[in-house]
Amino acid sequence: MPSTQPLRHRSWGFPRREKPQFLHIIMGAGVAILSYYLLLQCFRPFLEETMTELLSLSRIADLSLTLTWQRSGLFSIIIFGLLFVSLAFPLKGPLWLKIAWLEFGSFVGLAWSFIRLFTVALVAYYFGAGAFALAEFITSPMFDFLWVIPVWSLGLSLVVSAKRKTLHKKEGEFGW
Amino acid sequence: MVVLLYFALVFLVSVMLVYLVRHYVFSLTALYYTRGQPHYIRHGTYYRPTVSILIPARNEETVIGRLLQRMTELMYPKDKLEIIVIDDASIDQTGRIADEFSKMYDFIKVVHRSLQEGGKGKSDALNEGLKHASSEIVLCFDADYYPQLDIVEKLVAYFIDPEVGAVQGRVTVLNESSSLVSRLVALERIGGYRVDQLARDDLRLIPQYAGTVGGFRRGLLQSLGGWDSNVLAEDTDLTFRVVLAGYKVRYVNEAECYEEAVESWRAYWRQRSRWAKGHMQCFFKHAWLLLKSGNLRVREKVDGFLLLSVYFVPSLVGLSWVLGALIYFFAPVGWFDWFWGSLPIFTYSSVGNFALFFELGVGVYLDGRVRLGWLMPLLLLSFVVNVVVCVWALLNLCFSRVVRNGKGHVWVKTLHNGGGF
Repeated sequence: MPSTQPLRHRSWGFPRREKPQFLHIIMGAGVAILSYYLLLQCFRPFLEETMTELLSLSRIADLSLTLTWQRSGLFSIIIFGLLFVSLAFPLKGPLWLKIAWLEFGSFVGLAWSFIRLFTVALVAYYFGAGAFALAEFITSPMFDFLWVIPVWSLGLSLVVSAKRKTLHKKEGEFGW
Repeated sequence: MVVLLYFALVFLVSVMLVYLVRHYVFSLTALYYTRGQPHYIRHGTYYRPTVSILIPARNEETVIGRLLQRMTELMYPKDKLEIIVIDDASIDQTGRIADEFSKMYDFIKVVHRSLQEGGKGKSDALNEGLKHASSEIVLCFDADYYPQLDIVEKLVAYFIDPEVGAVQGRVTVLNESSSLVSRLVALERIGGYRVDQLARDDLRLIPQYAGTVGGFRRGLLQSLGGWDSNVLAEDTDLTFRVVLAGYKVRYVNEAECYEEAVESWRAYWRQRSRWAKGHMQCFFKHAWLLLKSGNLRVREKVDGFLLLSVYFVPSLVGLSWVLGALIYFFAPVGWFDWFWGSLPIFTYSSVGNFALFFELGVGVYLDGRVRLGWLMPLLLLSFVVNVVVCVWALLNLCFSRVVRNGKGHVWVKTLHNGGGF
């Protein structure tokens, strides 16, 4: 019987508690507000222009696009920021990593918006308004969370990883 | 018609938001709440009641020897310990293995059930074991579980409080690396116990007795009539009977036990289907009694009601998907902007159910499980499976209530192969 075999992944006994990193939250909120202000100013025109250019350059379609903010994907990027700042920044872990991941998340959101809008524009051009609604429904409200959850959870894993490394380093220093 | 659809959607989104807030409160409590600590009593030598451990086993030859060996190694004084194995009409070597242990150790007893009287489900087997128990406290372990050596001390310490009627320990997956499904189950377990149950205990709500790695005062259990074999989720049923009787259920995070999780989607489906149907049965049995109970505070009632309703939520999510799509495609243009505003809420609270992911993420963070955290996005798979399972279970339950008068539910046993070592 393997009764003496050490059990893997044994978690800590008494539940330990955290202290929220308030300074990190304030810094994160500041960075997020600044980033989203810049995005709000540049994001929609940038997407409009880039997509129009890309569609005409690739000779797929000659369209003039007008994006409302609701359809630009900005909403989901802001929600990601809110979630990340309020839920990941209070945890222990390096601030630089959290900020870098926040910005990375915004970048992924931007890239996803671009792919989504490009697809939707193509569908609208080739298949008409009905197909546009379907494509918009599938790619926007249905699939937005597909990037939010992975990016958020991978960010959290990185924070945990960094915290563990720090802990191991301290244990090494104290010879535990 | 569209207005009606809107109201339905707003109602559904509101329900989702309630659960969203619940999950956030639990997660933040598990992370930061410290004021609840004084009720953690030290596990020590002050309270050592006699303990009967019930182990229901039906065709568990691959795992029963491992558990019984572990039982012989428990640190709890053997003169105060009684192990009762209920061989529930097994047709394999389970009974023989248990008998061998019984011959070697006086404190191990085996109750054999014949093919005629046995095989009617876990509750029935546990009730049979309860008849043979003689100790103050009755603990239960499933045959595939593998407890810590000092788990009995940790669990029974809480019974020093006369208001405590039941305790529940933490379940951790042993065979995590066996398959993707077992890894996802491990993630769910971390969120469910390390965050959800712990927060409920901290906030003095209703931690749930989960059917194994837990126990009761024998007198209370007998006065409640033991396990109800008509309910598929006999653990949830008993939890609510205990709290409605005016007792508390406590969660003991440090009392860890290791389980063999399901390894295939088919087994996952069957297990979750049983849980979903059982919980829904419990809802119909206890929801009203809970709301009008004089033994519970308002927050306990709210938490209990949400706990009882939890397996309806995936069905509501499915309904929200359909309604959302209907409104999206058929709503008049003027309504559209408003809907667009509500859609992200719908997406994140129901489809994404982000709070649930946050709860799991917090569990992973607190346990320091880096690599397991990478799998979190894949929980979308089990989320979708759960939606289908719960819709199916609801339809099945409604059908059986209408056509078969609530009868005909079969307790489907989860098969174990002794994995994880």
